[in-house]
Amino acid sequence: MRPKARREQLATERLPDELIVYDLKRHKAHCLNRTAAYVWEHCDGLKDVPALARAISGEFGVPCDEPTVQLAVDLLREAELIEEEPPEGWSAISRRQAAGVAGAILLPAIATVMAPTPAMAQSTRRKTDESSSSDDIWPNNRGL
Amino acid sequence: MRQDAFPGRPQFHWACGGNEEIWRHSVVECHGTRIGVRFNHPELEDDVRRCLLPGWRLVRAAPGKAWISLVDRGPAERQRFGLRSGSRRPLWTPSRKELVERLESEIHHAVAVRARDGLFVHAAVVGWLGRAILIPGRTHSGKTSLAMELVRQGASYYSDEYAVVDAAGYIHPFPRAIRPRPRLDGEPVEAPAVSYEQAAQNGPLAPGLIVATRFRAGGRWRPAPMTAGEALLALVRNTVAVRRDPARAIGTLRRVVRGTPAFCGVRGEAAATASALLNLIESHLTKREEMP
Repeated sequence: MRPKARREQLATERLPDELIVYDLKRHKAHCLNRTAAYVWEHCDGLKDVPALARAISGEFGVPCDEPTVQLAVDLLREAELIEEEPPEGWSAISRRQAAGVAGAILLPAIATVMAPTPAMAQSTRRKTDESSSSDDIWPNNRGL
Repeated sequence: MRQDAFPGRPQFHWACGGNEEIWRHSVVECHGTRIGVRFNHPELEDDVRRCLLPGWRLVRAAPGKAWISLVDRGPAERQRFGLRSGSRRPLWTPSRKELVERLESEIHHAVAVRARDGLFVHAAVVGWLGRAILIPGRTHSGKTSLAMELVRQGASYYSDEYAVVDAAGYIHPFPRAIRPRPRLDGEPVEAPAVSYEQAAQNGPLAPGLIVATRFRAGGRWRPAPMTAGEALLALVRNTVAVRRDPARAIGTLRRVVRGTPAFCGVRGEAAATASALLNLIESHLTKREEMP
């Protein structure tokens, strides 16, 4: 399998050890740790999983195995940062499985939050009756 | 049609569904944006004035697209006062006090959404040793009570509602009046004595500590460190206009989190947590000074 990262409608911001990816379509912000970020940046649709593992080993100076890359791809797919669906026969890897081989140092991780709508971000909740009047007493919003 | 109750003032008419009403408007100008407030009774303009923060002003100008409308239907109506913001359903209340509270919230929120000068993050902010302590969080997360306790312990008040972040990542005050919620038993909580005029004069601060916390009865503050990315996500979750311009928002927040210690965890009573936070920021600043 040669995973291909989604690049459209995303905004990125690099931090020293992480990469923030904002999904402009779904309004989600993802924080990718170093391994996840590296895999995402190198998923070009040409490299397969073993090639990605070798590239990571070279980059970080630590041996990286295929389950670690597989887990990263699974997480990226969950976050909708990989373009295609997994091929038939692709078995998802658990963090425990990957950690058993790679150790914690290369374990990929992605944290995600939903960006609030302006209404979600408002502090006061309305307690009082909101619907006890007809709408025709209000001016429209077109201005003066 | 009603007689003109506002002689000599700009006016317009709105007629629909058989009602014809005379409306006036004021425009609130601040943070590079303008919010229009329409009202059908002159006294309601005083309510608009009560919602202004130091440095904000009412102008005679065309507003942007944001409109808030206020209506007073007179004493005969049980639900006398109405407020409508944008295209949302109106609020009706018999209470002038509630109207003003809601109006304040709506104006502040409209400013937060549309501000051109500064990025608004839902957070309490205090200053300590020349640095800002940011406590991002939504309503009922306990940020006001924590900010109040920090102020009682000597921190300078910046905001209990919004951190206003400039393009360089510095935090500016948003000195609205602290309005603590009553205790669970209904007893009112006294806010610390704060000069809001003075708070408005506080200069921008570099961020010194980010604390993502939530009150839990019986909880104990055991802070877990957050990475810069996790801290940024905690701020994104509370950034009002992040959807409007995500690239700008994230770029600004990156400047806030870079090099700023950040912690998360539940907390118990505010007094103990506030004291721990002040110690935490002090120890980080000391470490930073000791670094070669």
